[in-house]
Amino acid sequence: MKRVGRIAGNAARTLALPVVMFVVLFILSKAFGTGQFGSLASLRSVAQQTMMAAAIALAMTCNMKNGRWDFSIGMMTVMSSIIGGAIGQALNIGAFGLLIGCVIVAVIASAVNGLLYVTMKVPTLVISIGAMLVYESVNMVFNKGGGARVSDFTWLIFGRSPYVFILGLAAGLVFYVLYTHTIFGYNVRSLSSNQALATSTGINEKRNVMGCYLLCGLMVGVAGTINLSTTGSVLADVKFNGAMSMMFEAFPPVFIGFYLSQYTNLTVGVFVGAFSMKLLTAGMLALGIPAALQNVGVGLFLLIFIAFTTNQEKLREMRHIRERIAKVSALVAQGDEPATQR
Amino acid sequence: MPNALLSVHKINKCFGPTVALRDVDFTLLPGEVHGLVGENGSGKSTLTSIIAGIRKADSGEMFKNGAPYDPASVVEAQKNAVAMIVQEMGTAPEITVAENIFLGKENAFREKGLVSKKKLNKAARDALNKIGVTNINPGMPTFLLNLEERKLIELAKAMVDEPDVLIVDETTTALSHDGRELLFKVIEEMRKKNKGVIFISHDLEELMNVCTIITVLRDGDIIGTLTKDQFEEETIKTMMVGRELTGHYYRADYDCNVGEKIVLKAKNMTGAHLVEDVNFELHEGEILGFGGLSGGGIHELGRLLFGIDKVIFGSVELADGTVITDANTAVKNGLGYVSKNRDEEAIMLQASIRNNAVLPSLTKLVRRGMIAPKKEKDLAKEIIDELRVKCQSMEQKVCFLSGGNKQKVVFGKWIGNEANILILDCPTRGVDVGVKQAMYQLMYDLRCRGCSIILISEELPELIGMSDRLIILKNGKISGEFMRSPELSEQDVIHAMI
Repeated sequence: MKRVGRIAGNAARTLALPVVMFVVLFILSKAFGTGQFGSLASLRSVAQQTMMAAAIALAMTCNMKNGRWDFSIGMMTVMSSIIGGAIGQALNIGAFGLLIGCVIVAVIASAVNGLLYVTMKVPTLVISIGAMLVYESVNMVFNKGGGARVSDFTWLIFGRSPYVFILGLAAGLVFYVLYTHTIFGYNVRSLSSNQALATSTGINEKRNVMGCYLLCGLMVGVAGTINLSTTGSVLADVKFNGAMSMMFEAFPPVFIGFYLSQYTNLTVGVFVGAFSMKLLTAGMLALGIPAALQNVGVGLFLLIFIAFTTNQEKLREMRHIRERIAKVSALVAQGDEPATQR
Repeated sequence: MPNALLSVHKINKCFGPTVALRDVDFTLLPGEVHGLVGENGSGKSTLTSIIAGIRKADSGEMFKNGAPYDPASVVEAQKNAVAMIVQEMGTAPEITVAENIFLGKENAFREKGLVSKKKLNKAARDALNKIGVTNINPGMPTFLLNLEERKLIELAKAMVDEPDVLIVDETTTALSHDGRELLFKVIEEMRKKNKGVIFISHDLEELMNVCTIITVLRDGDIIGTLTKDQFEEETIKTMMVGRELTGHYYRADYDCNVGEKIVLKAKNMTGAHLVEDVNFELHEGEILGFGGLSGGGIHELGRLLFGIDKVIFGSVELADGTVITDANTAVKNGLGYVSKNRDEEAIMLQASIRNNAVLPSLTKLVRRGMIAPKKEKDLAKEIIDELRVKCQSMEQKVCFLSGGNKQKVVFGKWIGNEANILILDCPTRGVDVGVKQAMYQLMYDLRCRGCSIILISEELPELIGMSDRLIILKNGKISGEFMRSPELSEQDVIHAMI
């Protein structure tokens, strides 16, 4: 019974954020907006967008857990869509060809990032910014900057329901199994928790780092496939606009996932985070907030969320302190001096 | 020796110009609990870390059951049935207890390519039960456990592979009475099974009780080995420090006359945790001891007095009426605090002795808005000389000093700042007898100069031996108060503690 109660409590805490967000935005959109927010169609659209955001967030998660930042993820996603799309079309086996192409390109690019890190020992921040610049140039050179275009509609099934969900959830399942139930995942967690202890216990850190980058590449490949399949064409990115927003949009789900991992699995936490952020964007759109201001909304939400979760312990502590002050005040008022013996 | 479980021959190890071990020979026989004792920096931990595969010797050879033994890593040592419980924290906080116990051994629980959590947790529960720990859930995250419970996890982890040789390095300081009993039971079982234990501790009484043989190290040399019938505290101390420890270990006088002036007053002092409605006055030139069981609030009391933790009700006032609200106010008003957690809270490990020693006194070293380099160096030199810190130079990083010398630097920074109220939380924790004696003498000298000291300790002999007055805390409240007297016994004090 106690176990059931604990599971129910954890489930409620995990789902509290999207539920509260939905209710608040629903009421606001009914009162001030177009009133379209909250319909089944709009929710399905939000869920559909969640898949790509979650895949990019999962790509970041494994490395970020160990303090490695990857700023090239957005550009890698664009590159996997463009070059992977071309490879997929060359394979001529339909939608799965696109998926294979995108995954191959993303895995290779991510493996290069990983190799540079383990061999050169340069901070990931520097490596990933360097990689982002290189991948941007590759995108501009490839196909003379024309990007990728898939005209056969039947090849774009991973951009629409139900296949987008199947692909996104399958990627999540792969991540969950690898992170939670394999020796690789155990090693990721122990290295992030006490690196010195883990390496002195014989865990091969370099191999684990490479594993993280390969997993990152796999998730980026999935995101690249959804990216290409959603619109059918992807242009080479100019001045990082699209790639940067893809990357920055992935941060909130990662932070939310890390926070929610105390109540649920990290993978589920990241999906819940991605869904919540897409709900927020859809809600702001329904309220008629212009795109430029939507970023302000997302930024503010992230700030409030991090401030709340960081200070949650302090809020609990303040309640506890108030109770103690009341108790001791009553003791002192009664003149209840502590017993001493000499 | 042909039947030796483990033997090391002519082991040498240097760290830069410092010789840590010089031609060390050491033998561990089956059924032996072999104590290693020596001053801080004598080479005990260096020797055991070489045996456990943590570091390599510069030269020399080792044999395990007669065969050459030269582990390249901890894992290799474990494969050769040599396990070690290290002095520092040896668990990863964010993974579960079971994952910690079987860290690096997850392969054994693999089913169809995946790690079976059920099997892992069951095996961890068995491992904990085997050493007598039944109250820890193997599936819980390790960060939820306290220091002692984490040490017991390390013990369970070390015993999982049923080692022939178990090395216990300064572990008992982190354990309560019950925890120590569990450890001693494991050691006794190993002895009965004809296995070997290398036991390091600064507590000579404990060492003499637990060990069957003791080897004394000094400055990287083996000074001698004593069998059980030769155990005598004074002999061991003399071998450790290289001279007879003359005079009294603690202060010899029973003169409790302290100054009239009240320098610090705690009024209904209450913290967010444990400490509740505590009232006392500290006089000029008084050593006021605080004792109690671990978890009784003594350490929290020190943090409240120094302003690190907030007093949520009541106050801490100085003679001039200044209320201590934070550590900055405390330092400005002549308070000094030596934390129990030395490496995390009392010292900057990666900084030099000079930087550490002058830190609280920086405002006094400023000339025209800049720190005067000569004044800074003079102060650092004065501290090093006065406390006889063993170091290569004042620019040496503190992390390369032994525990006792690190503690001297911590003391020194407050003495250099001319603190007149010192709050010392377990000041002799993890330091050897030689440094201990020096610390006690220093405390007494400071008292004679009019400095007031709050001595927080978990060691009753230390509290009884040094304090003018002793206050016992139980569940955060004062449960007893005792004046210095030759008749005061540990039994009297324990009665107020439990």
